[in-house]
Amino acid sequence: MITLLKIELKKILPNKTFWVLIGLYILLTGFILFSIQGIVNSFASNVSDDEFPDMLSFSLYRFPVVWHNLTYVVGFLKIFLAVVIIVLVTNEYSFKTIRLNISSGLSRTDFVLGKVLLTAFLSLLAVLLVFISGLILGMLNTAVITFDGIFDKFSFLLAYFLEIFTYLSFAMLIGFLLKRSGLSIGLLLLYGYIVEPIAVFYLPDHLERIMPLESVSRLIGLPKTSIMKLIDKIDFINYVRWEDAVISSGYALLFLFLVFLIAKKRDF
Amino acid sequence: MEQTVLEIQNLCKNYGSIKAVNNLSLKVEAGTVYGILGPNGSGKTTTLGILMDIINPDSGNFLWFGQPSTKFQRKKIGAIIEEPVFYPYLSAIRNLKIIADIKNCNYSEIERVLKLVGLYPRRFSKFRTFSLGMKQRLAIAGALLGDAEVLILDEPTNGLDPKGIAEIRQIIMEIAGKGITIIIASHILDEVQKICTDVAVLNNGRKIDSGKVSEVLSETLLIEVAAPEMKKLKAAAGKYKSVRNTKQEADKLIVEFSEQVQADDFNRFLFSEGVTVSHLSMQKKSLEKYFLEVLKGS
Repeated sequence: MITLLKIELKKILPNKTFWVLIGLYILLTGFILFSIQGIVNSFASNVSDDEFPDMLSFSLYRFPVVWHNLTYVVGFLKIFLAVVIIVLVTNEYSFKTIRLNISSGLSRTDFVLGKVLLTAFLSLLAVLLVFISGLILGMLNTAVITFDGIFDKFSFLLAYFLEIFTYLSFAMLIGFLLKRSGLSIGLLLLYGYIVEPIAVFYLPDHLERIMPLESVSRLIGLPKTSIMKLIDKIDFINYVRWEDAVISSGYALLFLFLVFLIAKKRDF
Repeated sequence: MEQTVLEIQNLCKNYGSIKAVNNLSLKVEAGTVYGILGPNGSGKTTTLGILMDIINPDSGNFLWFGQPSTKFQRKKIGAIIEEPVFYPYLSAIRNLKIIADIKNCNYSEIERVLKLVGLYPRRFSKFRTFSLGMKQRLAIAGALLGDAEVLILDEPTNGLDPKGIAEIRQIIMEIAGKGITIIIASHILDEVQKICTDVAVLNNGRKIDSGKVSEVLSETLLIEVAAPEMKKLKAAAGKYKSVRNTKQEADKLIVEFSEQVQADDFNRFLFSEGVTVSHLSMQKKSLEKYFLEVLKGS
């Protein structure tokens, strides 16, 4: 297992495309996490000072809600990691290096397993980024810090891992299916931003929540922050629902199963 | 008794209605240089792909060292299938480190194989920057990692210039000299004849001939003779030992022998039969011609 991950890292660490995408991801994540409070504040103060006098005193970075707020805010950046995964998978096809891997002595299962481990590794990296940011921001913005206070809403970090991992598994499946990077990224964007949102719009709620990417985005719901008080009639959920976690995990398993199946059946 | 390295039994692979590999069976003994000879599209690459688990066969099976194929066996087999493939943005040495990791072999071997193929001075250059000949040599280096017992080469000199071809052949001979079994797919008859000890001739996925190169691809010797009295010449020539065939072509007689003969001996024989020769020249039947004949016959 460790060897497989090591091999994957050796393939990608000297790769410039990888560092550009990962660098962009880290920079954007950091920037958004550390500036979101300022953005929200300026937006809130523009809306109305009279109606919500307590708005500015309500920090997004307070323990334990910081975990919910941060994971919610940067979730959309996972598209960068998805592109990384797609590029890495489709490169193996376009360079035909998948042949090198298997003829040198990896089994087809090993080959896919390496990619799955890499996916988990990148998901962990994303979680770590939010964890460190959250810890710093929470320490700076919470008046009374207690151990329980810090780790109370920690389930959001687990949900965040699942969100990224399932999404990346979906991207990996598309990459294995189509073999070409441009086509795969195109399909991911088309499905994620057009096809499924339209489907979700027309579907009744009980079906809506079992759509693959919708289930992933429901893992971390809209946080109830001061600014959200402006919007009426929204059911805020300040915890991770286990149904959503089960559905997402199910999809992750399904996507990975399909990738293993493709690798088993296909001629390279 | 010789150890059998590879045994293929009734292997089949279809692409739609095309039979890429059609009921192929063959045996490769240890220490041989085995040529798989056939024109483009005769199923050579598909066969090698199946042997390395890159392609799934439709039916039939194959045994490496008498055992069904596993990834552990592949670690002991170095293979280059169709073309040299590596990560283009990685240096030679980084590419070989990945292979070494896959084969669980020590990095210290990398220096040895790079020196063997003459790429040690270019070890830090990216694969992308290599010429075709260098790519091919790096692929051989990669295939040799992990103390490979068998080397599979697919058209190793394809697309190379004469210097590149000579270098690759030199390396192959060197490797064969170390007792490593080599399996080479090629459409170049001359190459198989020069390098291989055993051969299987493939056409349309079918094996049409196999055996020792000296037997299967033996050159037939021809002597072209002419004399004032052609009829008498033909009758006399027919009496000589090991004559397989005589054929009149224009004003000359083509005599085909089944074994090596000396021209002077043949001349002396004709003279003793009362024929004075006005023209005599030795020729070799071109192998290409033979190859085309065999293919046509199948």
